[in-house]
Amino acid sequence: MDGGINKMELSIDRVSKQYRNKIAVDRVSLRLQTGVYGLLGANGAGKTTLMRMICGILKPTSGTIAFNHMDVSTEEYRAVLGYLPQDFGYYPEFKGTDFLLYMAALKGLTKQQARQKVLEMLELVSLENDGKRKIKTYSGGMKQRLGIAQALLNDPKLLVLDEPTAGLDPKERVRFRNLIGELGKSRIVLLSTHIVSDIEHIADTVLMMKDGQMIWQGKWEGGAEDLEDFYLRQFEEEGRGRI
Amino acid sequence: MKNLKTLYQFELKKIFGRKITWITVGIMLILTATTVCSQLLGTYYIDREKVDSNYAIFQRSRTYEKALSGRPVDQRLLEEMWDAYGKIPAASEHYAGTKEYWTYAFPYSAIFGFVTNACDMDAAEALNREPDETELYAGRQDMLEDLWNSAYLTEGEKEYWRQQELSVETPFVYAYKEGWWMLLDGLYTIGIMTLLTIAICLSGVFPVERARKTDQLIFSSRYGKRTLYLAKILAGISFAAGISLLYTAAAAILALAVYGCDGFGAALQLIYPDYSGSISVGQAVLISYGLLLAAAVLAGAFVMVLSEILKNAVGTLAVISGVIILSMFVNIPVHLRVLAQIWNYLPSVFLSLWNIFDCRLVPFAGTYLTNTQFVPVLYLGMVGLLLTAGFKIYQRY
Repeated sequence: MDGGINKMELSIDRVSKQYRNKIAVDRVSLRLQTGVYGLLGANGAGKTTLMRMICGILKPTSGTIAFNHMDVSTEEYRAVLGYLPQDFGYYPEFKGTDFLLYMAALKGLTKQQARQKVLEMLELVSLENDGKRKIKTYSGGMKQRLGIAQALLNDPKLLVLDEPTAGLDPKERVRFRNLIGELGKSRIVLLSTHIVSDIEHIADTVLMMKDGQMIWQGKWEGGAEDLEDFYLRQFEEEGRGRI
Repeated sequence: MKNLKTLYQFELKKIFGRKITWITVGIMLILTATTVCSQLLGTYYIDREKVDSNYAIFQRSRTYEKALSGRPVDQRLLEEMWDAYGKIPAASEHYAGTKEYWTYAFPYSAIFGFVTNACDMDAAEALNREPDETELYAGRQDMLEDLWNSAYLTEGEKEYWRQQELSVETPFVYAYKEGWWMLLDGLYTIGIMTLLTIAICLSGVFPVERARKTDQLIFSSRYGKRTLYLAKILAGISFAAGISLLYTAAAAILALAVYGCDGFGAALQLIYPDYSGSISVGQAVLISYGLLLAAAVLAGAFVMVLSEILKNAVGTLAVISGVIILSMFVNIPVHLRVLAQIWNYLPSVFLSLWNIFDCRLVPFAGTYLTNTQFVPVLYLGMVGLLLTAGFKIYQRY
């Protein structure tokens, strides 16, 4: 795989997802390169559907998704992908370490690599003393941290994070916000959140979705206007400024 | 395939990590023990009068049967039996309720039972017949011809069995074989318990990922779409095979420990005179439990693929339970030969002595295959088809 930072590109070309009588994602086209992309949108805007298609979980009704020309349906694509779903599950009978070792095996790491990486990740998310405990004893925040750890196990070039800071306490939230910022220096990070200030702090590029369409995308320069006000204004000005 | 072994181990861990697995297996093991020992439990009554405990009667019966072991069921033995049964007062309403029966006839009751079975007679008819070795074995041949006609066998099938019958050595040599017989007798119940265990424990292998919302993590991972399918299937099939072997081992250890290992080489016809062919009771047990293993593998594959189609563990369990219950009550009329034969191949129907060693054959390349030859191939072929279809469905998730 070409690991060159500058050559990394996620290409989303006229991707749509249609359910019986609802278009969840409507002809979205994007070209993402190294950096952090913040995806904003109200509930039902199509953020999670788009992310699930980018992760190969949902098949688009039309359009293509590729990372460095590797189609989303290939193992090679998934090998460079890390995904933290919004509402993900776990195996209550597994210990934290078991869960990460299992995910590492699914991601293609060898046993030796997995053991080393699991220790690193547990330390990264401050669960090094809880790895031997069963996940069913974890708090919501601990489970979320475990989710972040599994997403990073394979050192992904494309990291998709759906509400990564949900359930974290304010201190952890700031810590992970900074971590995401760091990760974005050498990979493509696409994150969705309701917390506009998170995006304001770490996203290089802001993407806004409404009713399945991408209504705004661009660098957030800040300036006089607050992102939250800008975001709310975009939703009020329906139809205007669509791309 | 990379990481297949690791993923397989984790999938097994998931199956064994569920409490329902341990509870089900525990209950089924108790039921297996009860099935094997049911003959020894309780009390024997005749006309509401207690005769003795079943265990005491079994002990006496075993002593008598062991005394008869090694003796050919010939004219001499038939005459001894006749004399013994002749001591029962003719006027008695129930011959088994007389003192004479328990004193003189009971030691020969195993031979008497064989005679009535082999000639398809009731007890009264047997008591009124003169002892005649030639008549006994000719009577068995007549019984077989009647059986073949009633099973709608073709002339070719009848000829096949007549040829097989030539290899059957008569007179049969009697042997005590209770341990092996208990295993054959309990096969149907153990088979149903195996199928239920598989349905309960494997119906969640695929749907649980959706229910727990771990499917998103799996399908976005490198090996989540191909290798993991194989790992799950292998783990499920190993579990199914392991369960059948566990129940087989539990039943065998208990049956052979309680009743003894004697009689492995006894002719199958001593307990199942309907079968034509040279096969021992012990061989019949090995074949039958081998087929249980094949049925378990098929059931495992079927349960997992069905659960992937329905995307629902409870729905899958309901379907499997429904099929098992239906198969207990539905009996396809024998004159609908092909339909009846196909119905009998259903694992919940097939796992019984009379179906495994059924006289109906499958024509193949100018010859015939018996159920013991055809069914393993059928089951394994179906496993292949199911797994291929399951893979396609899993890919379309």
